[in-house]
Parts: sequence; structure tokens; C-alpha cells
Amino acid sequence: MKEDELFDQQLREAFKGAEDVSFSSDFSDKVFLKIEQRKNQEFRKLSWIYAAVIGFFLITAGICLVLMADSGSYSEIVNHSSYVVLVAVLLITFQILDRKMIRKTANPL
Amino acid sequence: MEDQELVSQILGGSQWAFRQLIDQYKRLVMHMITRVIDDDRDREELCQDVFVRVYEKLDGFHFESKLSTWIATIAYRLAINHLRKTKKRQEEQDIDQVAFQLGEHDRSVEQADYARFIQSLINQMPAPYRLVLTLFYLEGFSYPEIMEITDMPEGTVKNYLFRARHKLKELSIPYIGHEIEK
Repeated sequence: MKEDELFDQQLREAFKGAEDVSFSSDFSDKVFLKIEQRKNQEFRKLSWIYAAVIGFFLITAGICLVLMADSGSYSEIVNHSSYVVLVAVLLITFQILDRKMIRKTANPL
Repeated sequence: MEDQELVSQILGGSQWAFRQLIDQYKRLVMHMITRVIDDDRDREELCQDVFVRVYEKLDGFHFESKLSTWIATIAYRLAINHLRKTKKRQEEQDIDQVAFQLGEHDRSVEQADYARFIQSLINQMPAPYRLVLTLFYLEGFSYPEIMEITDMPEGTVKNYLFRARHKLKELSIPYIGHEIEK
């Protein structure tokens, strides 16, 4: 038992004695630079997604308006049961995207 | 500064606090990376990526474990993913299949020489053995913490540690045997 403890002690000392790790002097700065780059990258990606979603909804809304103008039934949209669901989905999607973008960009680090 | 205070300052936007965290844990991260990645060209880059990931995930960390355990887990996973991406992951080798090169060492080795000798042996070991030894002896992690970091079952961790330790002892006896036998 004592022998094992002694060997463990020697191993610990050996580990501490030989672990010579070196880093470049600007290691932390490089980490900050990478964080900044990642944030910009993420922001650009989300901006594209945001733009695409808004574009999709605008086009869809345009098509709906044209179709309904043809049939002359604007008033029916209000009574349509899926209308509420559609608005809810739209709002939730905007909220999620908005929160994601704000959360990623608000931290001043 | 306490880890919790450090984390709350980082989440509050303190750049200084994050620099403190990097300084405090960069050695641990480098030890983890070094034990998994053989190619030293990618190591520092990968260490930086670990801290970027730590920064990104920090708001999801609620001290379910020690901060060091959590950071070591991230470092280990990134290192493993890096190996997968670069396709440098080798077949796991058994420690008994390794032909250890002992080199020229004086039998009356000084402590510094002994440390280098032990390091040279550890560097020749298969990665999982190196890693478990480092986590246990250098970083002072417990079995449950090593299990959490590496996602290995308890039996596997104990087995790696036991066999690596046994092998080191066996190979060291010609050099330090007189001290062990005391």
C-alpha cells in the first residue's frame, strides 16, 4: 500500500515537473478575435434567414391578395379558422428570430 | 476569484473576466488537447476554439459540475471531433501491444530526468490511457469527473488507469526501483 502511494506521489511530481505548456503571447486576443468573427458570421447568416422569411411571407401575402381579389372574398379571410393559427405562427417565428439575433449581438464581449 | 463570480461577470459582459477564465484554464485545455491530438500544429488553434465554444455555451452552464470539468468536457469533445474531421483517428491500441522505447537513462536519475522519462513513456501510450492518466494525476480529477469528461463507463476509466499505472511502474522499476522498494 505504501509502495503504491509512493509511486503515485512520484507520478504526480513527474507530471508536474515535465508539463511545460507554452502559448503565444496574444492567445487571449486571438480568442476574442475568433469570437468576434463568429458573431459577425452568425449575424450575417441570421440576417439572410430573416430576409428570406420576410420575403417568403410578403410573396405569400401578395399571392393571397391577388387570388382573393379575383374571387372578391377579402372578408372571408377574417372568418377563416386557420387565419388565427397563421398569424400566431408568423408572430412566433418573428419572435424566435428576433430574440436569437438580439441575444447573439447584445453581449458586449 | 470564485468560479461563480467569474461566470456571472462574463455573462454580464466583462471582457476582463473572460480573460481571467482563459488564463485560469488554458493549461487544462492544452493538456486535454495534447493528450488526444498528436499533431502539434493544430493544438493552439483548437485551444482557441475551445474557449470560443465556452463563451458561446456559458449561459447554459448552471454549475451542475465544476467549471473545470465542464471546460475539460468541451475540450475533449472538440478534440475528438477534430480527429474525426481530419480522419486522423487511429484504431484503439491496447497498451500491451505498444513497444515502449525506453531511451538512454541513467539509473540514478534526478527528479527532473525522471519526470522526462515518465513523460516519454506516457507519450508513447495509446490516447485514452494518456488522457485518463493526465486527468487523474496532473489535473487531479476524480473518477466520476473523468467519467463525465470522457463519457467512458467507470470500469473503463479504472481499467485504463490501472493498466497505464501498472505499465509505468513496470517500466520505471529499473530506474526508481530502489526508491519504491524502501
